[in-house]
Amino acid sequence: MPLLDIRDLVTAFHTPDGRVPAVDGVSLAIERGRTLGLVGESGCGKSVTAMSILGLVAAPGVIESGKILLDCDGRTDDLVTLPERDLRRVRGGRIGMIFQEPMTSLNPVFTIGDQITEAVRLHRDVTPALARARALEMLRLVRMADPERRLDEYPHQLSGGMRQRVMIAMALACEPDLVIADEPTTALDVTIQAQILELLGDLRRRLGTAILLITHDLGVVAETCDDVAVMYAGRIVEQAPAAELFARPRHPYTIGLLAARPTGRRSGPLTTIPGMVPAPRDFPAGCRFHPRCSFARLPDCTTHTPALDEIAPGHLVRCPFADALGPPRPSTPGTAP
Amino acid sequence: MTTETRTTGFWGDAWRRYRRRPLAVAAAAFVGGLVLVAILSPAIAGTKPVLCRYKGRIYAPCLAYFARDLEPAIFARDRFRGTYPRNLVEKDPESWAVWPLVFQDPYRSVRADEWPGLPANPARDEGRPSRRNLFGTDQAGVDVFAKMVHGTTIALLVGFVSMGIAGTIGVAVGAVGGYFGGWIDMLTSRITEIVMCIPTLVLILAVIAVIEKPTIWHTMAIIGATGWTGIARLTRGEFLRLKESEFVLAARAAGAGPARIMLRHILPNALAPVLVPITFGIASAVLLESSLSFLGFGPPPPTASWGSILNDARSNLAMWWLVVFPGIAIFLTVLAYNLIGEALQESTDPRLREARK
Amino acid sequence: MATYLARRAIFGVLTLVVITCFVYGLARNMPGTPLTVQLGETDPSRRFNPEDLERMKRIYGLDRPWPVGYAQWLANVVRGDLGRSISRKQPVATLIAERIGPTFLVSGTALVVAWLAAIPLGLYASARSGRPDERLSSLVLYVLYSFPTFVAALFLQIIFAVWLRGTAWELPLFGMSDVPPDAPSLVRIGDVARHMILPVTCQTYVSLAYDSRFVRANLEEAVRQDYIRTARAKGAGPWRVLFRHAFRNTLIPLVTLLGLSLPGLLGGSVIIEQIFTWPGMGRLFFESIRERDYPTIMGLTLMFSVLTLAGQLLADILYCAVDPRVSVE
Repeated sequence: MPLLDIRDLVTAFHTPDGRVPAVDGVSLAIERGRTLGLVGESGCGKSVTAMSILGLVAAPGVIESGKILLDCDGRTDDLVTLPERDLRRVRGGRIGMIFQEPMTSLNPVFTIGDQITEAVRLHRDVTPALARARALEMLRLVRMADPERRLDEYPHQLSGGMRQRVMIAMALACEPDLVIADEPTTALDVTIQAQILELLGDLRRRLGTAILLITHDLGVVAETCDDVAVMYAGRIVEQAPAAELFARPRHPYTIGLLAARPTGRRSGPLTTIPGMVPAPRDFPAGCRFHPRCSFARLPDCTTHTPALDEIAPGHLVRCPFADALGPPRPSTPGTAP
Repeated sequence: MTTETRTTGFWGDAWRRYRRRPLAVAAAAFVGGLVLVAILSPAIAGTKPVLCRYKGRIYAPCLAYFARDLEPAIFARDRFRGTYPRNLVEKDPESWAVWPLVFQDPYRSVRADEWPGLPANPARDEGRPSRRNLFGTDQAGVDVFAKMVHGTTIALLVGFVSMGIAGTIGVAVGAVGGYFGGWIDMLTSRITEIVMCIPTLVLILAVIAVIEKPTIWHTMAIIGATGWTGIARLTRGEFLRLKESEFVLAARAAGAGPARIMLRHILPNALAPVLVPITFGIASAVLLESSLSFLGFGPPPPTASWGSILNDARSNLAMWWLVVFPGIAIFLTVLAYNLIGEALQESTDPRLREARK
Repeated sequence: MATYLARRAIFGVLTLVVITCFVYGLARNMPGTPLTVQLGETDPSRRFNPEDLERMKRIYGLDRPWPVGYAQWLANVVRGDLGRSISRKQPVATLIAERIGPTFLVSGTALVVAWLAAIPLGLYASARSGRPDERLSSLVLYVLYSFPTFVAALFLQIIFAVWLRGTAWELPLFGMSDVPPDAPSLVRIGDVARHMILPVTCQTYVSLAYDSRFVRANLEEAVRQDYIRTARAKGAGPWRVLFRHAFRNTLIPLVTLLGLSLPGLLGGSVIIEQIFTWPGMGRLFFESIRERDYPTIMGLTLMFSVLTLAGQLLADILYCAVDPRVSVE
């Protein structure tokens, strides 16, 4: 039984211009203590997936179908049908969340201490003094310099990296089983990015927290994740253990993404994927990648949605040509087709 | 490629969202209706023929309601003294005339038998609404309906003229300050703050008292000259934001001068947010004019303004019709402009547009 | 802090000089002088003969060009003398002191009632946003917001003073008190309270409609922010999110609005005081313009401007107090 098991999740936005399915039949599983990277370009539905897990999809958005099963000591809750009151106990209690924008995600009128303490007191029945002690402990855990003083400071007095540490401290304050990190390093400088990623990896090892890392940066995934799922236009197109995916990408989109990644090893020009990511309301029929795919040959590609097939143990691909694509099984990584 | 995007353009998009608000559409229709009433006012209520044939020629004496000089001189020569129905028949049996819908005058009481069979208007407490006087008559027996129909022009003009002035000043001051920055911005911002500090009503009352013969145009000019501060601040903010944008840098790189950049490149992009305070400004200008008229500082008689009808009511509160009809007219007009302003705000707000994603 | 205040003060004084100079110029150029207007109205036969007029003008300093008159006025103000009212034969300071109480009574009551009702209403509207009951209450508030005060005042006068005349519901039409000043104090308080009901109602409903919409708009702006998402992801319930996280942030624009309402609080409303002949500042100003009473006009203009500037300063100081991001520097 995985810790979190998402099955056929469909989240759509009902706008005046019609129904926009931002997440269209996504299935994912995260094991305890592991890190799953959810990769995709902006607008592919990865953040909506994260908000669906917490039941926080904003107003015109609705979870239309699917299950989000959270395992808790043998009991399994479906977060889609869970009443709001119980869902609130999950949020921050069993699932912590780290957002992309450390600059705006902290409330400007409360001190750091107030905000971490609140996270503790919402889920634990502790005295203010104990909650404050816990907040201090968390700031030490995320290696915040001068934590006693920081407790009484306001977010605007902190740098972006320090604020992200506060966000992490807040997300981990109640020792959740799972932390969802939505682009946790995108808004930060490169050097700070590395520090934050290292901190996250270190905390995972120490606390045994599972992490769902949402990112568009394959470099981040390569460094931190055990498993990877690639999302395109609301659907998972490929899923595999990280080593397998980087070594043997099978979906044309994944292959394109990897080829477009600048690495020190490769010589020659960077390749790009032709065309643009479609907006959710203009998703093409059939395989959603077919307008940009350099392999789409069968008429089927424009009419039928390919199934997500397991082509090797733990390696799922949504493309009928998967076997023919990508490097052969024993191969050198990184050679573009 | 199948990845074409449907682009309807900014204003098309805004209009689509505006149309989805039935109240705002109704409000726009109401203002449109007022414009029609204002244009057609002499044909709706009056005592002068819309069109008439007199001594072989065709005249439109009703135009006199727009400007006194437009009354054909022949009627003055023939001693009509403003009384057309009887005179036309007596002085030229061949004549014919098309009359306004309601035979009532906004400036004077209708005398008995002026229109064959029509009794004189009642006055004071007697003048409650009836079939002849739809909205009743005032102290002097003047028909309130006719006064209100002819007062529509003022209610509309006040809004448009004063906000036209305020908009021009505000956009100019804000644009110059925001675009050039530095000491120019410092100067324009300080001037804006000073004008903001002057209590508007105080200034307007003082200025109107200075003018020897204040007309409605003076009132409009003063409302416009004091009501631009909000618009200036908003424009300044927009210009500050937009002058750093890529398309302005591109225009500057292409050698465009400041005037051209401000007018052709920045202003069209800043227009939508600036339009919102202008619409709300129209509402408050209408309100301000009617309160001035109500306080007795309105256009001099006999010019009819909705607010001055209310002023008449103060001397005899038993004449409730002098309060109810103009009061509701002012209220509906202000409400309509507020609704339009709010709908404009929400249909052009970029933040709300992004929420569609 | 000190330099900030000093800069504000210098700019404030400069603004005051510009405004008062402008208004003085205007006032002196109004047709008629306090001497002619006052006497011409009361009794045409008692008009001054030219020599008397010249003598009076000299006494009041009206014979010199207005810039000189302004300089003289300014010098007196710096010495703390606002001058004497020409038409009322009383020091302007005394007049203001007499009128400020009644104005504060009405505006203060209206302000407190409006805010006490507006904050819960705004919270309620954004908590139940989009539901039928909220839509109805918002529509009513919107209609009230667009309803002109003077029309409402006349409606109320017609209802309570004309139609309900002779019933227990009748309310006084004009003034502040009908009972003799030697009546028992309880009777007098009750009488003033009865006189206050209509003006206070008129002044309250507009602010109530405006303030509650303001509270709501700012709350909804705050609710869109990222930190609200963070609070919800922590597991905070909807009321906690609204009260603690969103409302605390809307306090910032709210106190600004509160500071800016200071001039209205003591300056009064010309229209409402005029309709109900309430003996307050607004009415005093209106009368002094009609009587061309330069010293009173100037005294009141100075006071309104000082209040406006003080209100802005107060708003900025309160802003610093509630927003940790802003410091006075």
